[in-house]
Amino acid sequence: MREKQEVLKKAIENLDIVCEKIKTKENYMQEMPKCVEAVNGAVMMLLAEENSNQEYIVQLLEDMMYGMTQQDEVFLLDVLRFGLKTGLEACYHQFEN
Amino acid sequence: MNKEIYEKNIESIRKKYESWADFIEEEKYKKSPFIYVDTDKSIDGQTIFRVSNDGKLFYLNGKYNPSYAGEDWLEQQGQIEDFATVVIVGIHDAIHIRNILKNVKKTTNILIYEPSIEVFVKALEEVDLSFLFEEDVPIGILVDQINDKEKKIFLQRMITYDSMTMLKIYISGNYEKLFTEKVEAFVEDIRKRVMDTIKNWNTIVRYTNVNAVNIFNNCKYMYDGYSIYSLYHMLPPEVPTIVVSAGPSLNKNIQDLKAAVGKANIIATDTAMKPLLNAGIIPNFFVVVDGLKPGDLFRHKDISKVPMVTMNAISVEPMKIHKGKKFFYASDSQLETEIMTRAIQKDKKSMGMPSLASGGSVATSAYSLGIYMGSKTIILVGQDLAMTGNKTHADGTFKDKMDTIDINSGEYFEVESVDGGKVLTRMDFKLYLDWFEEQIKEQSQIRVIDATEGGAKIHGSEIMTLKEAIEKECKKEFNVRYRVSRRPQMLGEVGKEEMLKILEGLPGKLIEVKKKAAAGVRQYERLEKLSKKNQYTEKELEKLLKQIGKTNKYIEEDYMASIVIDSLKGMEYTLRPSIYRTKEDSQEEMHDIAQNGKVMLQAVGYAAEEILQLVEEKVIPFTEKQRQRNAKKAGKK
Repeated sequence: MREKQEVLKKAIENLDIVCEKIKTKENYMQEMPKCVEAVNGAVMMLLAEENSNQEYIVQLLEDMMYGMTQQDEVFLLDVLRFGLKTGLEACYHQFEN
Repeated sequence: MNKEIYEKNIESIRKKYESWADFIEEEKYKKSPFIYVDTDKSIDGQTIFRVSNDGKLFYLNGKYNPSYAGEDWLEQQGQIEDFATVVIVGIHDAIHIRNILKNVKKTTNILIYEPSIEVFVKALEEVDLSFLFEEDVPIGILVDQINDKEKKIFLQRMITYDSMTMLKIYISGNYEKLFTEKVEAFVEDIRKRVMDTIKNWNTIVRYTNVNAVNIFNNCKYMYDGYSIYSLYHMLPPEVPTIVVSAGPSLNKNIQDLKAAVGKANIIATDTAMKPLLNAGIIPNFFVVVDGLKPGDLFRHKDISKVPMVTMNAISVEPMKIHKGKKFFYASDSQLETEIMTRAIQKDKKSMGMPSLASGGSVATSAYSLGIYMGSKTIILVGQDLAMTGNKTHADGTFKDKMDTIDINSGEYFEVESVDGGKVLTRMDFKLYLDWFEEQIKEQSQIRVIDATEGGAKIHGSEIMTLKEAIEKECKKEFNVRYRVSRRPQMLGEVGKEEMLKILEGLPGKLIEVKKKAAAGVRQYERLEKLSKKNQYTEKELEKLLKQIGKTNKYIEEDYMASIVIDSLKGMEYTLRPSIYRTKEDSQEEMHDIAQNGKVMLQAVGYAAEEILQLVEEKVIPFTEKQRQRNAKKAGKK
């Protein structure tokens, strides 16, 4: 369980870094590969879980890809912060309990 | 389209701006073929917008938590102060506007700008915007194509000296990317407005200490003076005006000007006078605007041969040195207004004293005068607006040989030059350059030829050499000097008598102001005492505030009190920003009001005393002498 939490924590930390860069209008693209890797790790782990909301997770990933490819920072920041990060934080707390 | 929402929006718009509703309903706007506005639903079912413009496709809000729009910005701002101005760019789903409105006070000035009519119309179809158009919501709204021409008026009203330090700008997500040009132009307009406000205030503060001295010294010249009113449309349109400024390039083509004498209206700026007279050129007028211009610029044996276009607020020396005809334009002085109003009321032969549009420099005033006089073509000479040859002015102006500037001082920056390269300029010159370019754009019926042969490029002007310009434009002989010699004086005999009466009454008026100020100080001292003690009756406070109100009304409305207050702008400058910072505690606020009021009125008392001395030294001897002259004249008759 702890290992899983570590994976989620790493993804959340990476999301925080990218979100902060987008908010302050800095170049966030160089942080993106690391962030995508960490998010992928977390998502793969969650998809393997029973009862995971696969549809929602896939939509999140699609939206993240959309925001990245379109370089639409308004859309991307919202997906990363209120979609992915909020979701991963909720899972982290579930594992805690 | 959500018909119900659309109708509700249109109905609320119609109540407030009827013409807007018609404009939208009758689709009088022009839709761009490149802009497409689409809607999407957020996870929680709210309508969000997606816009494509010329190949770019962006959302205007997020899908997972659109309600958060504007919150990051609000967090960054901290507390938004009372009377602050908040400018919001972008309306679309208006969620950010609702969030901002929730976090500001009722005294906040809100200005919303929507740079896309396409987004605005789509928003009216899809989201409830009626709250923006409620009668009691004091929001200024600018929408592309509907009323964006009122931009300047809104900015003038909402960005003032008092509010500009508290100005906040929120640009909705992706608007900078989608509507780059319009958003950038709007932000530039705001920047310009702030710069202008600073410039105006700095000018007022710079001059106020000397303003009163200048006005009370100079007002006597009005008695036998002329008004620029008599010059209105004196010139046939085909006679051009040549505005000669003292930029470094003037030395290059000053001799060429001789060919224009008698075929153009030549208006020199004050600083250009010495080089012109030394070159044997007698212009038709020279203009002065500066309250601090040194007299040395005007010490020349021929200076009085040239009529001076002047105002009461200019420095004393040039007015004294120049013995020729003086044509006055309005200086915004209360004393002058009082004299002119009363003279015109009593005397049909007295004429008004119009103001002269100015972009802040003497050359801009000279330019406006040329147009006022009727010229349709203005030729600019010596108008470098830049440090051509690393100099500020032509040789022979302030010094026979002007010093070169230190280009590394950080004060200078590059702008486009007339030859397509780059030239150094500084901020004040750049502001004048902007002014000229704006005038050229706005007054399309006026042709402007830049014959400076150097300096910064004035976009919109035709560039040619002075020789070429004279050959092409100065074809008709026209004796400006003769016409000027036929102009009547500004005041008729009755008007002159009225002026003398006002000047003679000045000491009495100033003593009255002093007394009122002293009474006001005592009232504020009582208020200060009340603020310190916890027990006072409502009636006691009400009575005192009524008295203070009466004093303030007098100070605000009496013309002489206004003159005195005007001489204190520097002081107001330091007091004003604090006026808008409200205190949490009403007793503390009362104490602050009392302190500020007391300081201000004490200063009014001192200033009234100083002006009184000035009047007794400078104005009263003039009135006495004039009375004697008039009596002598009457005796001869």
